[in-house]
Amino acid sequence: MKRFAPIVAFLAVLIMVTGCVAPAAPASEMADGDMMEVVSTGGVALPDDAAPLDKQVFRSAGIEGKHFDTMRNEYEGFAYEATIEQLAKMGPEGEWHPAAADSWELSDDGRTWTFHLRQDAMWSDGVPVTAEDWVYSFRRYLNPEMANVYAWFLFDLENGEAYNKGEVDVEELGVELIDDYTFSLTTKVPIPYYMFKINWHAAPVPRHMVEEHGDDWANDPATAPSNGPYRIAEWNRGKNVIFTPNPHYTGPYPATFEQRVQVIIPEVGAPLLQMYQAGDIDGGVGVTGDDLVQVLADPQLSQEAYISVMNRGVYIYMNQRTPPFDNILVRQAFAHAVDRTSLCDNVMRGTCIPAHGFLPKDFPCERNDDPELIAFQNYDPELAADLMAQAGYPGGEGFPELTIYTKEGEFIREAEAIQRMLADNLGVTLTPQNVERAYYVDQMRNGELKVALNRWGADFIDPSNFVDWWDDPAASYFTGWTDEEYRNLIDTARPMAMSTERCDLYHDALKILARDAIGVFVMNPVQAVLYKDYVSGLTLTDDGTLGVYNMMLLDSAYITE
Amino acid sequence: MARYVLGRFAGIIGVLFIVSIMIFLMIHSIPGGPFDAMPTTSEFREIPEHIREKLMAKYGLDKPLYVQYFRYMWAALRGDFGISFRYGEPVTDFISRSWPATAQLGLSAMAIGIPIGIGLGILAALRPNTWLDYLTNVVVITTFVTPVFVVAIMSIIIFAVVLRWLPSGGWGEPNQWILPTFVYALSQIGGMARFTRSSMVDAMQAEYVRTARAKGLRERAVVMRHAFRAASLPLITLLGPMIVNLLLGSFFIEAIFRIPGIGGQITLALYNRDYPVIMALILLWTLAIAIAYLVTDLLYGVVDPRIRVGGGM
Repeated sequence: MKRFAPIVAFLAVLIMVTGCVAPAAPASEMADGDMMEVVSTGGVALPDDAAPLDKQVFRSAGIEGKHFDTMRNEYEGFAYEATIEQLAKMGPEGEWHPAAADSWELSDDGRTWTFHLRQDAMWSDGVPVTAEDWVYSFRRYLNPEMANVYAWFLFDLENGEAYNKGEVDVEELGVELIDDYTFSLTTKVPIPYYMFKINWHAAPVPRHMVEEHGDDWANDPATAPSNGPYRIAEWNRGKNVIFTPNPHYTGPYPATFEQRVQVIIPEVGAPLLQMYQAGDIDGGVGVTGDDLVQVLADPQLSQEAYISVMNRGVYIYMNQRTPPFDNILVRQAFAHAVDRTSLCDNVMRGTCIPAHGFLPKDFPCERNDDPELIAFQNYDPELAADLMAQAGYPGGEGFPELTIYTKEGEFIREAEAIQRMLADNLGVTLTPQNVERAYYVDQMRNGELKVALNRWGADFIDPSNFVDWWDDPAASYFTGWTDEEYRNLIDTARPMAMSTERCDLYHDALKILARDAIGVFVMNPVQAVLYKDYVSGLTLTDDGTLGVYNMMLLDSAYITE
Repeated sequence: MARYVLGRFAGIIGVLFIVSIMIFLMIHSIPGGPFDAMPTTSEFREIPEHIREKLMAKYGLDKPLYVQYFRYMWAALRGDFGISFRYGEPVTDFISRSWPATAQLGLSAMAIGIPIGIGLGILAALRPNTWLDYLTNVVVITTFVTPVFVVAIMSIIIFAVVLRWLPSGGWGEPNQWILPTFVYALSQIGGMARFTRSSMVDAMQAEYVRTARAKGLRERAVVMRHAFRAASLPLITLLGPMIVNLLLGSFFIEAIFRIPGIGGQITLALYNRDYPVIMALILLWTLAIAIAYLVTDLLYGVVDPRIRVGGGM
């Protein structure tokens, strides 16, 4: 027995250690049991049910950024919503609220946006935020020397692309300093959704720091002040980033939390749902697919889940430059051979909704219930087989064996199901293959890739984002297809103010995509975003959902007992 | 002896050069490059051509391959392994901040896994074909065939989600070390035990063991001094690369438990086409494996005088 002694001793130590680390009861800050009002360091009087200040910590998860420079996304910087204050914030219902700008106005020609900044705004190091900072930031974003991969996001500015390509001087750029607290942005053409575009990506950079430290300013919390409610307190590489209230913040959204923590997770492989269940993160966990099935079946998790259809269209990409997909009959046969209802209900167990058009459900101008639209791509195996025969491939005879690609482990099961449907209904052989991102992009750009199960997600909330690139040879997912009628429709619609008339034009364009089967539109994924029940005060839509690109979600949130 | 070791080191340097050329050619020949698309957005978008060209020029990727290679090697010889495209920091900084976590995890897993593995193997070998042998066999085979990521997720579900005894991951606090260390150790036990058992079973039937018993030696001395010493030769062969693997980390363990080490980084770097990181890590790996084999060869001599290398010690 003696030889086991070390093992026994070891197990004993282990039990002691694990015993020690069980969560200790937190010390309460309540004095004498009185209901003392809890006021956050940011100056917000929290509601009565708020937990003591030391528990006002909100932890979410995200991958490691390269720096904190939101205006130099060579690869993405950190999730910055806690530290930057945009000019304005989009609320849950899609309405705009003043943030860094007190007010703004649009010129009569619809091209020039003038912003009046809040005059007492300060960086978290106490230096005032001025219009010069903003102008400097927009110019820097497009500065050719920066080689910013997101520069195209501001190409709508007057001379934006030309300046970024080094063709014109910075003075020609549509960014103008008016006075210390006023500046304007001028776009090439009227862009009705421009507020979204600039407020999604653009934030000011601290000019005083950039000029002193160069681009390195954003690598160190000490030289990276913020203009938002929180500042960057610590960056522990590989572990977390800690945000604490900005002592100089004067705006309308003061910090409610004492700390916001971004737990750093690896790019692949982190078990997010288990981290959430274990209580190591408090919210913001989006789950899809099998994890979603598990969430919906769990009594606790389903209570904490906000369910929504994602702003993503999943479709079959077909390279139309060469046979067989240069033939419209083949594409239409594919469109009618996919049983979308069975895919979502049976294969994906309710984690997606069938789609016959490209706009995701509830996206502006979405009319996926239009029978005319549905008829272009409805499930009709007989019609599909007929079309295939007319195309010269009766029963799939003579049709080349192809690979249907997916990337990054996404849509593997969907691709398996779809290839089965296509094999059963058309007699064609498509072998699903999942590849890594870099290979997929490379093959698609070279035109080598013939068919893929692809997706498109919204960059901003306007139908133009879903239709503009189909016939654009410079776009990643260009299929080789162009169409004059289509181009006319979307060019007419883009500058119009949002209206039924504008939606009519977009709907006509979307019908062309469906009719000619430029893509086979399959489904929109559903997701659940989880927030623990002790995270209270979320800014939600009237019907209790998270809203689309809601920038105010956590502005009034706090932790309850 | 010294000459032998020096000769081996010269060989290792040669191997490193050959490997560096091979890896360099391989990573540049896989389709796709580091600046083809914006990788960390959920949807990827084409990077405008004029910006891509600028980035390629910034990192010297627009030069002919042989120029890139010689530039790389020239800098590397002076200790500069370039800047990671993904993390924006020098590769040497990146490795020196990440390796300690991996090494700590590997050493702890080794300290637990290897003795338990050897112990179980010896136990099973001493009582072959008894219930003890069968029981260890079941334990060993179960740990051997269950993929480490399954064990990792299961352990998180049991100890972090259900029992709430331990955190689900992270690195820094001692309580965050426990789960990954044990899961990692567990994954080493099976192979170790199987191997020890089979060598020991052979050794226990050898003539010198019978002789030792006949001399009236105590069983403990017979097993440890005679049988195990002979049986440990094949174990040393196995241990060399195993220790290297432990020190360089596991992709699954580090990804699932969110450990900021280098274990997952070769895979991620390949995925991101982060050339400087791929090069540095593979060279490091090559060096470690080469040294491990050198040490193994020297250890053979210590354990078994018949194969002592390079003449007198």
